[in-house]
Amino acid sequence: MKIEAMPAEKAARAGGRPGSEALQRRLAVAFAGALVVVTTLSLTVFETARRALASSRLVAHAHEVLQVMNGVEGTLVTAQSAVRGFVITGDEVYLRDRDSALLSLESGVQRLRDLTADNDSQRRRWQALRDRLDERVALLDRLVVIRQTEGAGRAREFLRSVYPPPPPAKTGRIRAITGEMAREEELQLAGRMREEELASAFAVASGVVLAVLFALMFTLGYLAIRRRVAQTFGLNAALLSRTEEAEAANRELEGFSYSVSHDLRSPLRAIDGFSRMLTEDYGERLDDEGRRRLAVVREGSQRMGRLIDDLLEFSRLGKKPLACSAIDMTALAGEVYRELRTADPEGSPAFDLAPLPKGWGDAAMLRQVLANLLSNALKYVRKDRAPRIEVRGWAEDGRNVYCVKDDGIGFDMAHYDKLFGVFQRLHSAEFPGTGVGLAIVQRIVTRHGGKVWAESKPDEGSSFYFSLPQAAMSGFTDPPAARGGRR
Amino acid sequence: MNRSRNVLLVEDNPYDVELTLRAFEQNNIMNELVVVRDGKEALDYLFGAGAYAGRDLGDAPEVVLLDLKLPKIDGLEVLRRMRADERTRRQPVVVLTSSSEEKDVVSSYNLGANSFVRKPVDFTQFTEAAKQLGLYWLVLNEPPPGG
Repeated sequence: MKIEAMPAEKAARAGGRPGSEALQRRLAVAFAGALVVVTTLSLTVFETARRALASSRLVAHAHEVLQVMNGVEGTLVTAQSAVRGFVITGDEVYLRDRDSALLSLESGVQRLRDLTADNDSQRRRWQALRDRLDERVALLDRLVVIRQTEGAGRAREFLRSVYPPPPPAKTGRIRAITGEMAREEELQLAGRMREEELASAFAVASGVVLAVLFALMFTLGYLAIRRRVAQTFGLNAALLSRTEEAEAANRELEGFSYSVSHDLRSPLRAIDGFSRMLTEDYGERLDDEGRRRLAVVREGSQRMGRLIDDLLEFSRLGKKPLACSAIDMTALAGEVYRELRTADPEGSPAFDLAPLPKGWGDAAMLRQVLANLLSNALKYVRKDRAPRIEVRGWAEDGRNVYCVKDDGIGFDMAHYDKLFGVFQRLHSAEFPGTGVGLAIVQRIVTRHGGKVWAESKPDEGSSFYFSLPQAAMSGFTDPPAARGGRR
Repeated sequence: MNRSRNVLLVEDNPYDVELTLRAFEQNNIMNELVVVRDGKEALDYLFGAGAYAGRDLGDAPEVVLLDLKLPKIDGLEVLRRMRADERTRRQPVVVLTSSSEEKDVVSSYNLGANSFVRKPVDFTQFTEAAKQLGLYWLVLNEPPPGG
């Protein structure tokens, strides 16, 4: 006895809560938002880092320019001192000092040109510096030549004529240019620093805003999920307790059918056995009516025994798990029919079995379905003619339909609602039976996901149909014939 | 080793005992039917204890017909103790009971039952079952040597 109403119950309990679609939409929005925020956040961080790097490069650049300019000034002073030394002493050693100083002066100037190539005003200044330096170097060269050819006196005179004030004043002009260049660099640097500070402040501010947004969305998403999870667990707990109840009920029922099977059959055996002993040992002392009554007692007890057995079988069918396989229904129907005829070879029925579609199900249970339908067809026959039984099968609307048709006594469709009920019988004791056969058929077919129905006209015959879903068939193509069709 | 070829019937229902006696009688099964009424008595008989203290244990039954639903100690427990004891480990046991619940059948075989027969309600069938049992276990079947 499974609790069939479970899915409906579940649906009812789920009602009134936010639907799964709304929840999914909300989650999608929250997580998409969080994703956008995280992406923006990382882009901002990346941009800030890139700018910081660029700015530190600029600072380094400016420092280098200043440093190189200092170097240029220094080497110029060294060159001038060397020439001055040469003019005074005439010692050629000074000229080597001058050459090396001029060499590094030249390389410094070239470096300075490279460093300031990106800035027009700086480049103009550099040109002016270059001209001045060339002038100065030419002057120094000339001084050396005068010292070498005309002597120290002429050289000093020349020096004085060119630089009435002390020579370092001349260097002052060059220093003025380099000073300007340095100021320009520093100015640019300061500008960049300001920009940079602004950008960082913006980056930090937007980072904070984005982080807060992210945290918000993340929290909202988390809360939504947590609420749903709690709901699901609540639902599961409810279902679980229902399942436990159902299991307890099932266990109780199992215990019940176990006692039925044990305790009800013993007294019945005593009734039947002792009636039989009475008939055998004292039958002669009873008259016909006495013996008839004893026979009724025996018949009643035997019938009750069969009822108990059928009822237990019926209850077992609800509990037993299905062991499904592909089944050659044609072979199974033929086999079942032959078995029924072997057990009861009376009469000469005509049996017409057309090829049936394969079925997917529990072989033993489907065997019982066919056995019950075929034995009914063999049982409810008209006395005036040999019965004819047809078995047909076809596929329609995603299911396979099987039909057992007879030309027996049939039944009145007015009683159709009782047909598949347990212990319901449409015919008198003339036809033996407990009224469980069709209930078993219905239970088995229903458990397979199929349907049972019937059509009949009294005295013309009946057609019993059952269907098996084809959906279960997908997954196998050509199964071995009549698998599980043998005992 | 002097088997008396008797049958031990473990059955608490006196009517079932009577029916079994009758069925044996009708089928001319002359072996003595020793009847015990519960699981404890069955074990006492088999191991020579209690009321059966001092019984010659070499005189083992040809077959034990064991009901499952018994007072005091149930049939499955009797079977379990029999199989756990060297003296009755190989003793043929037929479970003869009202139920044919799958779990009973499985448990019986798991515990080492040699056969499982359900008592039919119909006395005609019951007599037939007794006849078949007698024929098989008392005539056809070769018992284990030495009990």
